[in-house]
Amino acid sequence: MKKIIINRMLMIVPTVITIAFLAFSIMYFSPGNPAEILMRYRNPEGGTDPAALAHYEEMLGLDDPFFTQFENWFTGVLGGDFGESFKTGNPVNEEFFYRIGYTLMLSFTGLAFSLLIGITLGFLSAEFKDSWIDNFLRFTQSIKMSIPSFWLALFFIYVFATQLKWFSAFGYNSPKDLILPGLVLGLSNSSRMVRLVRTCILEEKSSGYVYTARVKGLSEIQIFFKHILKNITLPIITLTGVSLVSMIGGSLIIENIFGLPGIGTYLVSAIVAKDYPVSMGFLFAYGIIIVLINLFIDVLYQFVDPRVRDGANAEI
Amino acid sequence: MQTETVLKITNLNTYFQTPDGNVSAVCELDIEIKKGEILGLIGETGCGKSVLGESVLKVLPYNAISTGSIVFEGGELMGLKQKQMREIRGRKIAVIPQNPSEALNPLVKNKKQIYEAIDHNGKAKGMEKKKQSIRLLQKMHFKEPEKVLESYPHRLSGGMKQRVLAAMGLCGNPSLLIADEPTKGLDAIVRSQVIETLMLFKENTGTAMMLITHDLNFATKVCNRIAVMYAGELIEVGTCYEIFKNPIHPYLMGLFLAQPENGLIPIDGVSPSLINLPQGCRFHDRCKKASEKCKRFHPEMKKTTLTHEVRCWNP
Repeated sequence: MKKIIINRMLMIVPTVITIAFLAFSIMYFSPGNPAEILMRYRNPEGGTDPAALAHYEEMLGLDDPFFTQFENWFTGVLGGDFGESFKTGNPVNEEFFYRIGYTLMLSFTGLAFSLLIGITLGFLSAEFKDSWIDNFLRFTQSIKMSIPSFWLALFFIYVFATQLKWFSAFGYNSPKDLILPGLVLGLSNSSRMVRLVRTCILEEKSSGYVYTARVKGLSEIQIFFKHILKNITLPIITLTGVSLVSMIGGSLIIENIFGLPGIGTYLVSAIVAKDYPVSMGFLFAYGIIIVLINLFIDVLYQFVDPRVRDGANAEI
Repeated sequence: MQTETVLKITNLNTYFQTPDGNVSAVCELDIEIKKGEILGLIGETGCGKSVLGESVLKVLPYNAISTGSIVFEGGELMGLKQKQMREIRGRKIAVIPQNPSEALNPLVKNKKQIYEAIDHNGKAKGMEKKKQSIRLLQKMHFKEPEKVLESYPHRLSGGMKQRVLAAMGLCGNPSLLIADEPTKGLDAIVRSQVIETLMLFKENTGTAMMLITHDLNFATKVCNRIAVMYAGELIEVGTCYEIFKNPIHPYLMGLFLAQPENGLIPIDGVSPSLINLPQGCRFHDRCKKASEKCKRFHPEMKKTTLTHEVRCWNP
């Protein structure tokens, strides 16, 4: 197993280089001259004097060939130096580590809610298949899927923050402030989970090994916890990985509404302002996080499924 | 000499409630199995033979309803709750499930799955459980039982999986074994392994067996008595010799003619839908001997000899 994990980690190296290259070239080839933008930031009143511009370009290394620039940036990145923001002059990595904390906290809170809601409702829906509980849950899921998350966020703020005053509506002061945005994020991501859990449980219930367990004399509760739960873990892990990735990258609206200083808001404003070091650094780091999540899920498979461990064809 | 009856089924009806109407999978079925006997239950796919086994065990889907009487070792099973049924399943009635390749949980070690069966049959402690499992696997002719215990099901072949399943069935002291399609979809080598497994089981326990299969050759090889089902009801019951040498019902004769060694002659037509059963004999529209009477009146089981019964107006 150690060998497989090391193997997987080595396979990350080319991926990381590709991500870095893409993050760099997207910004390099996008229109606009960073030197000009930097000049405007530093001195909003001054015009773009060509001599000064050339000085700035030289200072930033923008007159170097493409690959030299990439090399300079990438060696910096490998050493942990992502450069400084044009706008604020702060080191990019400082900014990133400050913000990624909020995004991760929010994403994991959202993930926890989506797993909690997804597994509970999915289980109920499967257990009471075709009864009024199942029909009701399926009906509410389909309604929930058509509600946009910003509407849900505003609705929750109105009910729980403005009216009931249980939570604050804006900003982050304590972990309690993550509950509302996490709930919104979790709810809007849970529909897929509910459906997946329901389908998987029903599928497993009609499988051969459940029949074996039944005729062996095991109770339905034992069968669920000892047999079914283990088998539905694999698809749940897969969907959890996908959800987590989409939450880290896509919680922009929720971060904005709830005033959380996450990476989403910051990255978008940096891209709009053509703050190249920030955009490149954040794109790269975001890519690395996704790669790491996928690596983690791959490794998790090894632990859960002996067939994957043996390299046999697992039916996933 | 009168031998003890292990299982006596009288007037069993099992049907499924579906949006299209009730599907009656088992209809007014009477059969009994004596101690030490192997009863073969034969019929084509969808004739209700597996449902019969599931009715006895009460592991039917939730939309199934079953009525009648199932007496097992002198006790009525019909009214029992699931909790009481669990005392019987795996202890008194063992099952070898169909399709061994899917009958073991792929994510749980063989050891654990066997231990579950042992736990259900009493309270053996850690080491004792292992010893007992090894003994059971040795009985099933495993050469390296420790290795089997420590591995996961995907490392075993189909035949080995079936023997593991049989070992689980052995760990109680069953007086009845229900083997559901043990040879379905298996190649010739594995099939002979299965026959060997069943014979091993029989040697080890002397238990009565209900062998559900559509494999006529297999049934005639191992069974004492054979019951033939068609469209949810029994149409012919007799000793293996009687069924093989002197088949009476046109359907059974058709089945023999459809065997490869007899020229693969198919029976015309298809089995009736179990939702809208035909009036009269259920086989009449496929039967060459059918008369007016067959179309109108439903035949009852009639004895032709002491042990041979058939459901036909024109035997």
